[in-house]
Amino acid sequence: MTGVRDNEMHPNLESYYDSLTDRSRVDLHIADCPGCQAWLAEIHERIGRFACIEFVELVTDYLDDAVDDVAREKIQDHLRLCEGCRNYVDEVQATIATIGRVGGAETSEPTEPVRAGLMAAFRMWHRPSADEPPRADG
Amino acid sequence: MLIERLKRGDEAAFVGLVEDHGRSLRRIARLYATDAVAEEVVQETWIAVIRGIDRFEGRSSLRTWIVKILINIARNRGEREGRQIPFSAFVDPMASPESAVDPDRFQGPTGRFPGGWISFPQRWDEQPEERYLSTEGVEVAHAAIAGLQPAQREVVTLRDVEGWSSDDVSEALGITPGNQRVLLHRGRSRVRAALERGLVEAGIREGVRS
Repeated sequence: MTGVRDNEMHPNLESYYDSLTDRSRVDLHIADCPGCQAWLAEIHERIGRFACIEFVELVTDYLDDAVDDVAREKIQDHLRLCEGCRNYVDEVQATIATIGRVGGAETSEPTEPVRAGLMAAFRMWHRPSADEPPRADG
Repeated sequence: MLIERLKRGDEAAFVGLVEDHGRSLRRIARLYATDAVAEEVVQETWIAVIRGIDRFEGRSSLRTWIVKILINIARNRGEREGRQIPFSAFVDPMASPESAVDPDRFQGPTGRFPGGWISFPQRWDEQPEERYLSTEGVEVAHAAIAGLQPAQREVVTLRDVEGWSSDDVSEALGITPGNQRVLLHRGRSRVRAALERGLVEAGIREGVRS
């Protein structure tokens, strides 16, 4: 259990469903704390507003920052409460990083005649006109 | 300025351009053609660049302009040869709704949290996962991309292999950013699922019941 709300006494219920949370211990506190009972009810209401199955279809828009302010706020609120979806974002980012390594396998180079042919074409097309002074860098 | 140097006929600038973009162009050309034909497509592209550089007005980046030329050449060639080639602009994003994640991994309407995970996905930044993703995982991702629908493969390759921005990809492919993102979403989701299966097969992760 990490984090507290406004003092050391109350557990941070936004991480109530995290896998590392010792819920039986937290529940002991909640049983005697009307404030935390209300807070947990509010958290359940927030979780109910936006389902994980909807989030996984928005993750690409979210990572591209192609969502409007209302949707972004909804997603960020969900991510604060849902370790599963935070992990899913991590998986997607790891996927993107892995795809980014695919191009590294490319090693083939054009053959020398091909390269020479290209240079000849470039020279031909861009031959300086006769009235230009010769250039040292050509 | 590179473009000015190219227009002046500066050979060193052209050599640099070919070196900077050659590999990327070959990877992109292979989206449309076999290795041998892809090589020819890249050649034709450079010739078209040489001929057209004087008309390049800088409305898009030089890279985007070159790749647009390449895609044009590759598609025309594929058409002449009667091959199936990707045309992302003709893909109806709503045509085949598919889920990013197997719907069985979410709670049903009678669950504690309808539409919530039955069991949480796991992070992939632990040691064994990271090692897998930087070795076999790369091959698995490569194969998964090769198996994508052509329009998804185009977008995933440009966005995530080449690392292009959403705007540049949309411009190069002549599609809207929204359509581009739908294709990216489908493609990435499939690659993620393939990597997840790979992690299970490698014994690094336990299979999620579904």
